[in-house]
Order: sequence, then C-alpha cells, then structure tokens
Amino acid sequence: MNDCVLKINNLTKTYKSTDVLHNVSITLEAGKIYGLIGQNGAGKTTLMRLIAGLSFPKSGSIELFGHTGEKALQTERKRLGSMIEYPGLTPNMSAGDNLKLHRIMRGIPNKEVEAELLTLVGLGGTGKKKAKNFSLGMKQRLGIAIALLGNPELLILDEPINGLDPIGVVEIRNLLIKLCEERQMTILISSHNLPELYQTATDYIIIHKGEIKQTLTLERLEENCRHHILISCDQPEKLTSILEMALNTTNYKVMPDQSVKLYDYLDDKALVARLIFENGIIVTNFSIEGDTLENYFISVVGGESHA
Amino acid sequence: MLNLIQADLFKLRKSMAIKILFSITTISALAMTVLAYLLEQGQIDAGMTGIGFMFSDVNMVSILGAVLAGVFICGDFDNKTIHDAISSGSSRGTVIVSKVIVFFCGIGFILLPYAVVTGIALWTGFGFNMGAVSVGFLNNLTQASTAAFQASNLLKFLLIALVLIIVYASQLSVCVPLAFILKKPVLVVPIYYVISLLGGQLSLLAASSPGFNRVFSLTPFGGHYSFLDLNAQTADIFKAILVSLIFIIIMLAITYVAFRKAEIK
Repeated sequence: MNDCVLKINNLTKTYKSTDVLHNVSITLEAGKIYGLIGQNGAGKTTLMRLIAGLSFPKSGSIELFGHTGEKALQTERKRLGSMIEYPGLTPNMSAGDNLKLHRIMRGIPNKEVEAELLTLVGLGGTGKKKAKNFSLGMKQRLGIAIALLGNPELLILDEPINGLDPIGVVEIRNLLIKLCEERQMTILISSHNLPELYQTATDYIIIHKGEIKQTLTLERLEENCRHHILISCDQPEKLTSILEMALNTTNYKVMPDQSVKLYDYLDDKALVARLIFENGIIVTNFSIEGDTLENYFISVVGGESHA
Repeated sequence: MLNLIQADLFKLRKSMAIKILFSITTISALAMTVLAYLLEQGQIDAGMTGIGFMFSDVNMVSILGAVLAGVFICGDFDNKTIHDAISSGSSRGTVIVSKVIVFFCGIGFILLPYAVVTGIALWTGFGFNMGAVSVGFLNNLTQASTAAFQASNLLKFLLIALVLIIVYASQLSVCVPLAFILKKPVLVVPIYYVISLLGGQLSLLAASSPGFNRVFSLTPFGGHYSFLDLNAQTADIFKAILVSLIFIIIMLAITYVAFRKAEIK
C-alpha cells in the first residue's frame, strides 16, 4: 500500500527572520511508521505543528490525504491524531473524563471507545484519579489515548516515550507497531531515543537545523550502519570474483562508485588484504566501516563520529 | 461547533472553578441584599454602602467574570484543549464562537444567584436601599423598594434580569480578545478590572458631556444600561440589547482577526 498520506513541498517557516525550517519536502505513505530524528531545535516540533495547523508556514505547501489549501486541510485534519510537545490534559479530570471531553469535542458518539482506549494504553485501572496526580508516563499514555480517538489515519507523536518506564516503552512501541500493521495507520514519531526509534520505525527522516538531511528506509539504515570492509580498487570485477572463488563468500555489495562492501572476514582482514595483493589488484582504500545508529546520525548531520 | 460547545459545557460542569465562583456570587448576593435591607431599616450606618457595593453584582462580575475568562479560555491554552480542537479539524472561528457561547453561559450561571436573590427580595415587599452606589441588580432592589413589587412585574423583572446579564456579558466580552491574545489569566483579570473601573469613571464624564455620552452610549459600559430597572421603557431595553450584541460581535471580530493566523504555543 503506497497511498500518499502527507506530502510536504518546500516548506519554510521563519521565526523573527530566522528560518527554523528551510525548504522541507517529505512524503509519508500509508501504513508506515516514520521516525523523525533531529537534535533539539532541529525543527521536529515546528514541522509537526505546521502539519497540525497550529502554526503557519512562510512558504511551501502541505498536502494531506491528497488535499491542499487551508480549508481543505482543516477538513482533512479530522483524520489526524496528534500529541505535540506534551499531552493536553485537563488536570482536574480523571483519565476517563479527559477522554470523554475529547470524544465529545470530536463528535464521536461511541462511548465504549473511552474504556477501550484506556485499556489499550494501560490506564484501565486509574478510576477517578485526577490527571494532575498522574506520573509523566501516565500522562504520556493518556495523551496517546486522546490522539488515538476516532481511529486516525495519520498519527503524529512528538517524543511519545518521554517519561515512560522501560515496560511502558515496550508497551507503547508494540501498540504503535500493532496500529500500523492492523489498521494501516501512518505514524510520524519524533524522538531523541535513536535505539528506540530503530525498533519502532520503518522509515527515517533525519532533520538538522531546519533542513531534511536524509530520508531512508529501515533496510537502508541497517545497510548503512552494518559493519563491513570497504574496498576501493582499480579492478572491482576481479575483486568480486576473488571474493567468491578464493574466500567462498557472496556476502558483499558493489556500490555505485564501484567500491565493494564486504560483510564477511571482518575478523580476518589480513587474509583479504593478502589475497587482493597477491592477485595484483591496486587498492586505493581498505577500511572497516559501519556505525552505531547514533554515529550514523552524527555523520549525516555533519558532526564528528564518536565511535 | 455543537461538539465544541457540548465539550466545553461538559468541562464547565466538571470544573471546580465554576462551583467556587457560583458559591462566591451566591454568598455575595445574599450579603448584598441583607446589607441593603439593614441600611433601609437604619440598623447599619450609611457608610456601609461601600461594603454593600463590594458584594454587588457589578463589582463581583467585573472580577469573577474576568477570572472565568482566565480559567475557561486561557486555561484551555494551558490544557491544550484549543490546540486539540484545531489540530483535529475545527476552524479558529468556530473555536472562538463556541468558547464565547459557553463563556457567556458561565457568566449567566454565576449571575443567577443575583437574579434569584433580587427577585425573592422584591417579592417579600421589604424595603432595600444602597444609596448612590446602586447598579445592576442592586439598583433594582433599591429602585423597586419605592414601589410595591407586584406579580405582574415578575415577567418584566425576568426580562430586565436577562438584559442585565446580556449587558454584563457584553462588557465581559472585552476579556475574549484579551484571553486569546495574552493567554494569561494573571494579565486578563487585572486588565479587565482596570477597564471596568475606567468604565465607571467615563460614566461620570459622560454625565457632564453630552457629546461623549452619545459615543459612550454605543458601548455596554455607557448609556445607563447597567441601571435598567422595572421602570425601564421598551426602547431602553431594546437599545441595551442591540448595543450589547453589536459590541459582542465587534469583540468577536477583533478576536478573530488577532487569532486567525496566530501561532498557538
């Protein structure tokens, strides 16, 4: 399923003559979980606020479910659920009453959805306890439950696992994956917790200083982060035949620039080097590559590797 | 819009603030009436009129009405209820109108004790007096004491009470743009109180300047709209309603212009 849920074209947002988002263009397809990765101040929340209509761009366009223009966007936002920055809760109300308030506000007649959602996010037993007495994790869960009201097709969650305990993190992660798989819900999550995003998202959007630096799939990210021997030489075809015949491996990949990524023999680099040398191949680069998720992110945004 | 109004009414029903405000106005309405009765009976000194005015509807509503705007509108920025309404597809205009409708319902609710207590007090046929500081429902108490309150006056009193509530709501509609722009109750309440005090001073100016009086009468603060009583003519009542409604519409328009493209943080 590749229906385009959200398409953003050249979006620019300015605060006090400073571009906080600059020519941002992204496309979200249905049924995927997008991890929005960026440092503090990178523009993650601003981007989400623009999508939710809480803020207006200086230029560029937002297309939601194939519709653009202010009036149409307003209508299409009924298909959207969001929790941006921190959950919006009425402190003197219980979890059930908070959900009821938002259910009425959205015109959802089905009262049973309140109990269902509370159970879904693990707040089924909170009873009359007021939201002001909730822990940060409980507030986050309630915020997610509110965002899920009306079964939205696009769910926007800004740092949803903030304040959650390890079990809560796993529960919310499983919930999001389940929603994506079972309901074809598209989810856009921002997080600083890269390992957590790595376990949840199917696609990644790396944003830095208001610009989209990279969009990539999980497979591509794994590929980029996977440790390998990177070999650049004058005869890549001969190199690959040596790898297959002498080292009995096909676990390599020829890159567009004709360099070769070898995923085996990382512990026996000397053997590989000797074979290449003995076969008269001139090597211009022979190095161990691959990163942790954090270091990969740092390399993309232009910082130094902390490996 | 109906959804937003229903949700806000649900919220108002669950709100502790509205219950506290209602309790305060109930106690104040009773205190105002008792003091007006005791003053008329000569059982307390005439200097107590200042205390009586403190409990009066006009004074209470200028503080508590602004508090209600602070809690109800500014609070929804804090609780992000307004954010949620907009991000789930409600227009900003709809949000403003629904907030104003429920805000006015809240004002009507907290003023209800004054209407009820004044009505009952008049029904008893006792005399009441609060001297020159009598405005609004307190003015009705004072004025009606000069003539016996008859059953036939009941409907007119209900009408006057309704119009007074509309006039107060119109005056308090100033709080709507303040709340949507400033978003802080701590600013809205004192600013409105200053505006209401200024309104009182401008009334004095209007009394001595016919030109200014004509202009001031175009606002709910002028034109003696807060002094409507059982002797009011139909034209006065009609004018009070018309001026109040137009003023509310102007305040809504100002709010919309300010909020239409505002960042919601």
